[in-house]
Amino acid sequence: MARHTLDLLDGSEGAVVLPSGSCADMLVHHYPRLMADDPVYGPKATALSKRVYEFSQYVVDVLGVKDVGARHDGRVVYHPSCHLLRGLGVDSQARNLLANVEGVEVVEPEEAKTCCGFGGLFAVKMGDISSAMLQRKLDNLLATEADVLTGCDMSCLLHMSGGLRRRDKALRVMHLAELLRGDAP
Amino acid sequence: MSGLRPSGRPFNVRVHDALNDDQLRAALTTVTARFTAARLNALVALPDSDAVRDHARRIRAHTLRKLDVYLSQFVESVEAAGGHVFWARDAQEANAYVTDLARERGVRLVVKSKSMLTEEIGLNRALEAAGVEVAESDLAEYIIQLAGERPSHIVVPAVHKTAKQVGELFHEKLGTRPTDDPAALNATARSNLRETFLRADMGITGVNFGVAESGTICLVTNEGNGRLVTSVPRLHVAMMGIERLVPGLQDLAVMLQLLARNATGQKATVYTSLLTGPRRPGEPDGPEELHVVLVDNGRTRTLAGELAEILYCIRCGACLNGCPVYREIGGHAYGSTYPGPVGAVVTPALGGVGAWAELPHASSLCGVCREVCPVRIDLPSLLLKLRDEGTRAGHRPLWLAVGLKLYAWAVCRPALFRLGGRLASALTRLVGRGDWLRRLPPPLSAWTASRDFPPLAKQDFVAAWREKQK
Repeated sequence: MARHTLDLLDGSEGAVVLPSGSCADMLVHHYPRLMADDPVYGPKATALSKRVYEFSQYVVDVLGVKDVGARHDGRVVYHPSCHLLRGLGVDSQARNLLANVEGVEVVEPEEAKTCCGFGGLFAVKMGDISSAMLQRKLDNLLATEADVLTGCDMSCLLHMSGGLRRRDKALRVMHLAELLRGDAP
Repeated sequence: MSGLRPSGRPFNVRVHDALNDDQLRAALTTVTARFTAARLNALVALPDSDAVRDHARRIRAHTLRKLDVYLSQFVESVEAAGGHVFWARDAQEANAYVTDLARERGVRLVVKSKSMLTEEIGLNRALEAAGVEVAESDLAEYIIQLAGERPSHIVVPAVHKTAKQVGELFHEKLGTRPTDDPAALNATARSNLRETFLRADMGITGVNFGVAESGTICLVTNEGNGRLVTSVPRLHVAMMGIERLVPGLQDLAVMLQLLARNATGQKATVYTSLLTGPRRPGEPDGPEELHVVLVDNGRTRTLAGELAEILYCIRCGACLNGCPVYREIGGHAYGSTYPGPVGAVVTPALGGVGAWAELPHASSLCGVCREVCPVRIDLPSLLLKLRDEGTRAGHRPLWLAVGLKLYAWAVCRPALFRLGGRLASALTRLVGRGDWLRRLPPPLSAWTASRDFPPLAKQDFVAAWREKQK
């Protein structure tokens, strides 16, 4: 599967931008390791890893834009996803973009940097543990009384959305890109 | 039974029990948060803590690369100081040496300070089977022993017990007045233990670090029991994993800067004992004989394999306190002497992945363990290696094996993948009538037990992109 993806992206030029920190971390850190012993795909993986960016990282670090001129009236809480934060070391980029949105109030939850419990197949293989982690995360997020939960990883956001729907609460979930584009929550 | 053999109850049952134990989870929440905060404060106060960690990692890497050299040097140093050394290939050899020694020297009572290694090899049971009484003297281990349980944390073994539960336990086993006052409970244990120390013929300790150049054994404790165990009884037996070495006292100093700070947030533990050899002529106290038992029990094999980095571990427990999984399920759910992220690696590494196939999967790979490890062990990568090894050995549910093969096969055929996507989209929208799904069949029911699942988008990304480009 990795080889197939490498072949596909090999034919492209320029930056590869992903809306999920975990996917970017996979291409940046894990593909080169996975292909380390492969004489053909090893170099391909290394070359690709140098032009892969997560969305907020690309906007701030590559395009040099910190303020996209967006507006959002409301209270927003940002979830720093694990592989984005600890894998890619990307955190300030998204926070800067968010802080420059007009009308926004950014709030910080308790245990902000703790995993939401998704972890890919972990959520199904270890469903009970994953759920316990999710409930704790949602408790902390809901305690902020924010209107919108945002982040830069589709999978974590999907996970928390799915859990929030069972809580019957007003917290809406948006990817940072949607929020910056000015979508309605 | 050794601490590296799983208990009879399956992993998912142990997890289920832990998740339904509100008292346990409340205790874990409080304690792990307290240790995590204390650790951060202690590291902020340590000048250039990142450089100290890098230095410590280099020491561990260097020592393990030349372990044969440093072990020989250590043995020579211990013997030169008048101690005896025994090499134990496995738990059985280690236990046999200690029980034989106890028998030969007419030992009736052994007093111990905290040692995870003796939990790993099941030394207490071996001694008891040989008719020797064994008394734990670390307060938490004393409680665990009275309760007939296993430690649930490598630094604070009784973290799962509240003061009230300990009071009830003491009332039941020792006949004391029921109380939940920690000071009163401590006083009870203390007065009971005093007499044990005086009666004991043999003291058994673990070893936090062995110093190769001097043959010194370093013990860190907070209760002072380690000092009594090593000075009152006539025999001292130090049980040491072969990886627990540092080359010199300089290196020990680096390790000691990190161990307590990362374990409990202390700059140093209350007692740091450096013991070299048995009592020398003219010295007022100390044992007549010192025996160091070097235990391999899978370590040489681990050192030669892909998981060697796990032997860098200095057993501070920071990865347990930081781990969001450990915090939910506690130590007993792991089933091994060593719980948490380090336990999920070291247990299958030493005990075999076959018996512990679930442990490497009990992690969301969030990376906190790697972030907090004082010697920067890349625990998530080691967990992935173990998952890989387990998968190759066939330890994987059928739905997962077939599902992943099918998925990978389809992904490499774009037309098929898109067709599959369209079908899945239509199906999820049909079943959910356009809304999120509340129930899915097994194995995906594990998801919908607590989360809704969204209907897949009507249009896939490629189609949407093409439309936009027009």
